[in-house]
Amino acid sequence: MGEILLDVRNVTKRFDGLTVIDDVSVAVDRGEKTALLGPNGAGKTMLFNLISGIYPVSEGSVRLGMTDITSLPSSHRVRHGLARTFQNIRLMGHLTALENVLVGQHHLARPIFGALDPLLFGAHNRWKREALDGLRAVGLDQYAGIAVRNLPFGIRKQIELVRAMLARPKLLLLDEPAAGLNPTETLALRNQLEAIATTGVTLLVIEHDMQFVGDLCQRIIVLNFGRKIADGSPDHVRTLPEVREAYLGTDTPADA
Amino acid sequence: MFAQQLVNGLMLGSIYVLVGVAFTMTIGVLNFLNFSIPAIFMLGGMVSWGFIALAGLPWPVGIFLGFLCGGVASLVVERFTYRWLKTSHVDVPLISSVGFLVLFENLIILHMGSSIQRFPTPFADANIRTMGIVVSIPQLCALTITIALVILLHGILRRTHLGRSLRAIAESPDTAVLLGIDVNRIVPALFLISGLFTALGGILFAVSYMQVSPFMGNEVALKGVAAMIIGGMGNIWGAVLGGLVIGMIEALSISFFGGGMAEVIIYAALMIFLLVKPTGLFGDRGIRMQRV
Amino acid sequence: MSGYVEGLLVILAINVIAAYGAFLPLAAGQLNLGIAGFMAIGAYVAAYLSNEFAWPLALTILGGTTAAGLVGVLLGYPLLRTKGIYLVLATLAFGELVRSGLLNLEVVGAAAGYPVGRHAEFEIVCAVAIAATLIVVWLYHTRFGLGMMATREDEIAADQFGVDVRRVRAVAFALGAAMGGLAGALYAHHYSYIEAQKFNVVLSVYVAMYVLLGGVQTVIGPLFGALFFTMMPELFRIGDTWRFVIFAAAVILTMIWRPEGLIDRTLIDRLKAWRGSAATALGVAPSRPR
Repeated sequence: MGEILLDVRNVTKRFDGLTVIDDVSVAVDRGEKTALLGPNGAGKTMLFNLISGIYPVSEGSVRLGMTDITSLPSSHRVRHGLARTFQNIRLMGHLTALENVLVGQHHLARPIFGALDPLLFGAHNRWKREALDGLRAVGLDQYAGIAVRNLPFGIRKQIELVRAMLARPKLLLLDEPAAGLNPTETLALRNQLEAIATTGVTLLVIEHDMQFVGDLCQRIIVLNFGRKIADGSPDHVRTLPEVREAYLGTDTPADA
Repeated sequence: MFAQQLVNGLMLGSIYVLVGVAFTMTIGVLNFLNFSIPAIFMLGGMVSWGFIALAGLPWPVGIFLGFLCGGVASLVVERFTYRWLKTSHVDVPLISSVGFLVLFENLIILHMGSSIQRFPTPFADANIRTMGIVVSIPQLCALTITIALVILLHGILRRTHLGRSLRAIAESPDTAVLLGIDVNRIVPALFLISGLFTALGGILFAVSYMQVSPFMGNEVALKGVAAMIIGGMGNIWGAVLGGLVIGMIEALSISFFGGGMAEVIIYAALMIFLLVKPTGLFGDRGIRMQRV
Repeated sequence: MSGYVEGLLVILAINVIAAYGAFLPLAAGQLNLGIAGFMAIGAYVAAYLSNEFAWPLALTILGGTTAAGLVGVLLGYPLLRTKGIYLVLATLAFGELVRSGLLNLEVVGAAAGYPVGRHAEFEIVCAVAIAATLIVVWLYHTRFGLGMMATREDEIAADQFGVDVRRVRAVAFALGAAMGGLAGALYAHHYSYIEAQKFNVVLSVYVAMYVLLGGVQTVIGPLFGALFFTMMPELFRIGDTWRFVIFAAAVILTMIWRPEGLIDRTLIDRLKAWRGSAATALGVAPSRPR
């Protein structure tokens, strides 16, 4: 507690003159569960994309633990303990559930010899065992050999989470993990995330479901039009007029 | 001497312009590299020859039928490639159109043999001489017709409903559908136009060089592509410039280095362009790349 | 074995190797329409080493393969900076550049063609084809192979989990080029005569077509495509030209109805499931789930 894991400082992102992220600073402590809220288009996913390296920042810096990852190539960031899920599930449709989650382990393999290790033959190697264990932990091992595009939505979401966890992250970025889930699935997800957090993984979650967020997270950050407009405990953030205004017309936090 | 080569190049280039425009239109509007275009080029020439030399029809009739055949073939291609395959992986329509290239080429071989055939041209030797340069009449006609057609096409794109619809589809196919554009009629129209252009290219080639063969499309294919790339994908006037430039490069290369090297120079230039400035001299317009 | 069957097996063997040459970049999501260019490099380098330096067969073939692979490496990185359609066109231009360049190269016979001294027996060609197939199958099941598949499916997600997309694509391209070179080298040594005109766009296109016909979702798709393409005239007892007509029609129809290719993942899953249930029915314990 109290040790900063993710330090986003004065990050700005411009596309051709349009500023989509405007001087945003976020500091997430190790072991925290933080929610990132804001209306559609506020820049939440863009902020994730900047942290995970899909886009470079225009200004500012991003630190993960002791490392400045601002200029680090995106494919290297996972090695420093960063993993994420995506708003519109990005699984590899034609690959099986097992193959998909094996991708999560990719950075853990040794550079040359690891690349040439024929792990997909047979079932008795540590990679497959670990991947299968990951699937079994959420009851999905029965789907291990099935191509994910044939699997239902809720299950694909879970597979995405297993893939991210197999990357052994310190920081997990979750982009709308509860979107499209029914109440039972949402509860199961919440329990999973609580369990993950108890193992020491830091969570940063983009969500719209206020109930979900309120139960899970100790801290809420709110973005609007690319700027940070609130940062504090759920109770505090709920009362802020800027926040209620940002959500004008929808159920505001104060009504929860 | 140099001037003569430039003139030759312009004449040669007009054919590449037609093929280049056909390619560039399809890729500009539909983001689809239609590899059946060289085959339709061949159909224009070979089918005309077939009607004239085998069926004994009068020269203008044979040419007209060859021209029409190109248009029809293009519509067939649309029906079996683009119509079905809009949502698949990017490579799929390309390979399908390649399939048509192979199909048309071999169907022609089955019916007309694989040899080079002499194409009858009424006014073959007519030429005019000015300022020490010889300009062949058929080639001059080819150039004139080509430019006229491109101007016509430009007019269609700017001023007609069809043109506006095509530009809307080029911007965003989904929005175009929402705007009520009947994509199922507009897209075949595009294929028809591009088919007619390239078939005409084949006919002009046949008339200018007095020969046709089932493989005439293969020689022109990459040069038409080069015209498209140099001018920028989707840019019709760019393709005009590109085609003429390729023609001139070819003419100059042949006169200075001999026929064999001309190809080497053109393909090397194309590769360099693609690696260094793929958007061409004028940038490509409205090209949607891989779906992100 | 009759000479006729031997001849057929050689064609099949060479087609299979060429198929895997086109397959490797496709497995990583890139269409290489210039495989004929790499085949030409392999053929001519092997032939030259054999004719001029009298190297033994194994070394000339290795030389041809390596030369093609090296060109693939040199071309790979700048090429892969281009995207999508530009990449495809650049490979097309490359193939034609190689062909037209060789056509002008007097030292290897230019337009007259180039005879090749040493002959490779059909057993050697077939053995090499089998070895090449096994290598590709093995590669496909490694982490590198998984990286290729991941890159093809979703390069952004692959990148986020540590797959170096550019490196995977460059390596796949170079290996594919080397395979093409291998096919060319074997062709040169078996038929004892090569001409640049044969290594043209049409050849590249046919190879790409039968790979996509077979399917790139699985590692046996290209094998199937090569088999179909090679065996079809035998099956239908038809002339060369009709064979291409039917083949083209098959490609067009396959792209409409099974754009993934004839052999895809679902088919393999069903075959495995069938084998699993057959094993259970026979009282044989099923293997652990994959």
